[in-house]
Amino acid sequence: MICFLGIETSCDETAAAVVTSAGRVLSNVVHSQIALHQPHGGVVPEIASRAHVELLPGIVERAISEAGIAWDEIDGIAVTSEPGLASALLVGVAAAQALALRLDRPLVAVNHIEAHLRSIFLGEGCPLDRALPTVALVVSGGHTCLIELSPDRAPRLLGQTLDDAAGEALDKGAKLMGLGYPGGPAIEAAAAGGDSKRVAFPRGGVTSAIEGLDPALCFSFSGLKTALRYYLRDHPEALNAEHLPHVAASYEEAVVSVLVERLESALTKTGASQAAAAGGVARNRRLRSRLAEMAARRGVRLGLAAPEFCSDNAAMVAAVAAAGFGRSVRPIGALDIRPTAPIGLETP
Amino acid sequence: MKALALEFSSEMPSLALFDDERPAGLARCPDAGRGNRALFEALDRLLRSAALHPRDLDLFIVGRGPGRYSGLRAALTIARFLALPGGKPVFAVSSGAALAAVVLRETGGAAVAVLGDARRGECWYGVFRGDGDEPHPDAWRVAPPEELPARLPPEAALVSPDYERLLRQGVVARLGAARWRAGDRAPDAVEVGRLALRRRRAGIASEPLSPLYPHPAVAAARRPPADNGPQMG
Repeated sequence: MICFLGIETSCDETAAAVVTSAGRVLSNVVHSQIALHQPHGGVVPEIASRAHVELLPGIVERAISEAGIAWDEIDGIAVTSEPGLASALLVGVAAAQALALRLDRPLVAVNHIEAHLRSIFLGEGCPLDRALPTVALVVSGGHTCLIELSPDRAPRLLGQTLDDAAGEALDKGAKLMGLGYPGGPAIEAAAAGGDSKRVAFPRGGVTSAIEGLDPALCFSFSGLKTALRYYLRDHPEALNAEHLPHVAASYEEAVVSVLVERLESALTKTGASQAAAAGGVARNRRLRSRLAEMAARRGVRLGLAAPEFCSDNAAMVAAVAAAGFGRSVRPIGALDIRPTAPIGLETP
Repeated sequence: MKALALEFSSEMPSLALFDDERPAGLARCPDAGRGNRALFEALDRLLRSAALHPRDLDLFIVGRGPGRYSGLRAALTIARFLALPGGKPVFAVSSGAALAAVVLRETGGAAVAVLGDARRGECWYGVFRGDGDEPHPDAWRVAPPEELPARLPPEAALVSPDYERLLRQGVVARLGAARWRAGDRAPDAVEVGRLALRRRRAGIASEPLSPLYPHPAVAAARRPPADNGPQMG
């Protein structure tokens, strides 16, 4: 049994996990720093990196202990080295380098987006056939992109956001509505019982995309947030208890519908027979439900990352290395972080 | 007993090996920038020169600043993760205390203040008294330059790893140029290691395994001048 220890510190989760080459998750320890960042309405990089320094040794020890293995049973160390917050990435990378040196084990650098893609296959009961082409939506507070997975080629970037990520749009919307942080769960809770058609928020069409990408498969959420601001300005009653559920539901629907529509367009354009979604926003119940409806209507298989693997975690990082992907780094000191690295995938 | 000391608080990071409390090697990595490449190359050189592997080390010593955040985080993280698999001890001392020990020994004086640029228009400082073997620290504090003359004992020699920057900012002149040990002065890993080993021998506990940060992570409202300011660490 080959075991990889994964370390993830690219943003505000401090995480470590042990995963086998067969894809079995032996441990998956995640410490969310939400409580530290909540008062500031978003992730504060300096708070995140300070917390990683304090917490990571204990988190890694727990991952080893919960996996029920000894240190010398670790066969390799995988770490997120790109993209992410520079000062946060540095902590995880330094830890991984030191462990790889101490244990005499290979060090594997992992792209965070690629790790999210791997999370689709983690856990029991993934319905996807890896031999068939798949379009995956990776959607979180930092990323929103569509990626084509094929059995015979590297993952291919199809489209991405031009401005805010979907999770960022939810955070900003929640802040405007006074719903707190993180915005996705807060809006989801506030939207319960609301009419999602009550307010017609814009759907963020894209006419000129990033070079090489199809505008029809790209996203833009900055206009949505502005529309909400103007709506709240013009409708002071919108935040009272009677109206707030409708506003929240309409805003959530505006984000979700764009994600589903773009994924469906990508399925049409690529001819892929499978769809998937991963990342923190993929926990959203409205999104999961809409994706299930779309997949059923089109007759495509749908693989959704299990909720425990949607938010940032290290199991997905270890899984990349355990499956033989990622970038092997030798000597270990040669691993540099790439905070603003592109998604790191082939573009059409 | 074999020990490794890491001192990355300044722009002159270094690592040192100790064999039975005697310095057995020093490696400097002046070109350490973003990333840890130069630090690990220096560590590799140092360990090879002594024919050692990290698993052979019994103790990890680390300087916790004040100083460059990225360096302090790297030093503490690397030390703790080299120590983790074998359950080896990690011992932290303030880098500034190690520098104070050197200056007290050099000057034979009774007091030394170690200062640095804390950004946000303030300086960090610590005042040490002693005979050079074990400088007794007052708390690390932060203050704007205009308050420093009243806060630092007039007899204290002054030293800083940020001397050139403080010179440009007028802090050196404000406190009296003659009091300063001129030039950027940073402790090296041998000095940090010596201080840690002396403290361990004396039964003094490690300082917390976290960097000495001059400021909270998020900028706070400006303090009133009468406020002595929060202690660091």
